[in-house]
Amino acid sequence: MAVLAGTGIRKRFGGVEALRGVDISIEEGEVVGLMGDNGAGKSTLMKVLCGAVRPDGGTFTMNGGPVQLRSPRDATAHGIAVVYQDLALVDQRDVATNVFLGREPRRGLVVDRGRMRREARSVLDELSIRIASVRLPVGGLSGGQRQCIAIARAVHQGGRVVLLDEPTAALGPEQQANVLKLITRLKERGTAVIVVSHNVDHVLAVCDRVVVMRAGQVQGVRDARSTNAATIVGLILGDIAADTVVHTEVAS
Amino acid sequence: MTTTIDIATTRDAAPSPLRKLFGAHEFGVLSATLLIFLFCTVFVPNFLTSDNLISVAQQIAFIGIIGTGMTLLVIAGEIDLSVGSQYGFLSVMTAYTLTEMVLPVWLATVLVVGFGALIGLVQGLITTVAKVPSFVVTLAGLAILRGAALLVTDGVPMSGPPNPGFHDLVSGNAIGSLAAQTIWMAAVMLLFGWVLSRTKFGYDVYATGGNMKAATNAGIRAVRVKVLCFALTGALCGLAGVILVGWLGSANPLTGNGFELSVIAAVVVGGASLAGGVGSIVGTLLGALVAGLIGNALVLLGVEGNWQQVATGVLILTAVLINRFIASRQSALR
Repeated sequence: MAVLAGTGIRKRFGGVEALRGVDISIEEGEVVGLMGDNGAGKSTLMKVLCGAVRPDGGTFTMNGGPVQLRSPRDATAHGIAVVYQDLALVDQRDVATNVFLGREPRRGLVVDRGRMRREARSVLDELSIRIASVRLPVGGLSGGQRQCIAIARAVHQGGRVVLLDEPTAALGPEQQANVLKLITRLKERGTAVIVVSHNVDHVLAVCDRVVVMRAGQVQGVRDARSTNAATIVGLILGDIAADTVVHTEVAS
Repeated sequence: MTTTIDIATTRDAAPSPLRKLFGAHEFGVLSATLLIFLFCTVFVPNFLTSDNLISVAQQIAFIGIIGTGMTLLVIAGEIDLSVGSQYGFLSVMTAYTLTEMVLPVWLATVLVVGFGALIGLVQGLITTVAKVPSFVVTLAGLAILRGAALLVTDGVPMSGPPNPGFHDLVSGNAIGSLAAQTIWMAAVMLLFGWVLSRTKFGYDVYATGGNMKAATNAGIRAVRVKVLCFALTGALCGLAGVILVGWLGSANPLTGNGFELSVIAAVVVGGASLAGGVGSIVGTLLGALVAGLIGNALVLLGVEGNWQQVATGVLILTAVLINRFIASRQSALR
């Protein structure tokens, strides 16, 4: 059963139909790559899934039960966590504080810093993230480490479905590899991951399924193991015709 | 299993005290305080007497109390230029409630501190909801509140009622010959130093000023945090006003004219960043102490009073440059 599924999602911004009846679903422990050219509707779909944008139409279910995603708070409460491209870290604060941002453990009135450091370390270890000390301010860490901390926070704060927006963009090759490794670790833990990316190689390397969007619709869905980069690029550019099973425009 | 825990604890162990000291944002101001103290001890006659040091501690009390609110506000990424005018207006209000309305001291204090919080609340709401920079909002507040203080009093000082009990409470000899103002400052700074560094609210203040968008995404009510910091600053201006009136027995509508400069100087010299996210109460205390010591030394050396303004300006500039140097050294160490 899909841990998260959206059916017939539509969104219009003024005269532009950003989403024209999109179906998407993801299983536990599955990694789905979301690809498409600029303006294809990927970002809007992500924002709808994390509650930041309210769709004009469509329904959502989680583990079969209907859910409403009216606000980011709703989405968080349902275990949907998003890691934005700008990472949303507080540079001046240390690693432990950033992992726990907004949800610091307390003992009475006081933030339990010892527990925060221990738990932050155990989350980092569990995800095989290498950071010298959880006391380091995140502002001084590398881009890859920062990305990993942002993902660790999403997971630690109860994310069962994690949305990653361009997680490997603006990173060096070694750091990209670390982030991809982390995505695989999330999958092994049973976390459902949706990755938005422009990098076909990265998507094919870590994803189980690739969903390609074009002009606000799903152009095609492919099993990552039985497809190749050329097919994906063809779908992105529209050179390969859309799958016939695509949810066609709902009469409005 | 135990081995991994051991490794984890050593990896994340606190740095040695010495390393911690050198890496702290307050390192610059701490060394400045010590240097100035040593210099004064050697070169300034009558500096190292208990009477003189106690009077320095008394003089910085108002900067310390209002600076505590300002520290939280600056860490939250905002600023309040109207603290001098709030201090003046609320002093006048204290005298007015005591002499004209003949209210008991406790009630007057509650009213004045509450009204200070209200002033902060309004300025905070205009800043966050109407999205007008706090620099502009509080600049307007500076003019409005000073004008109001002068209007209420017709520009002449207003006397408070003779009340020895009140006087002793806010400015008597508290411990030995240590003035009560100093104790009030210590209490305020201890309380909010603890709030800032240990409580969830303090963590929220740092997160809000460090990266407001990240804080909001993490479910922190950043707007509320900022508004609360404004209100706290206003309330502390009220407390300072009450203490001043109890001490002097009157309120001058020009009280606190230009005082925002001294307060912001103490906060910035103490290592807080006007960009938000960085600062501490200990730093502000040291910042106030540096300013107080320099002022005191200039007086004892018989230097003309106007030089004190120049010294304050030079101090701010030097502190900012030192902080910048420390910040770049810290990032180089990583």
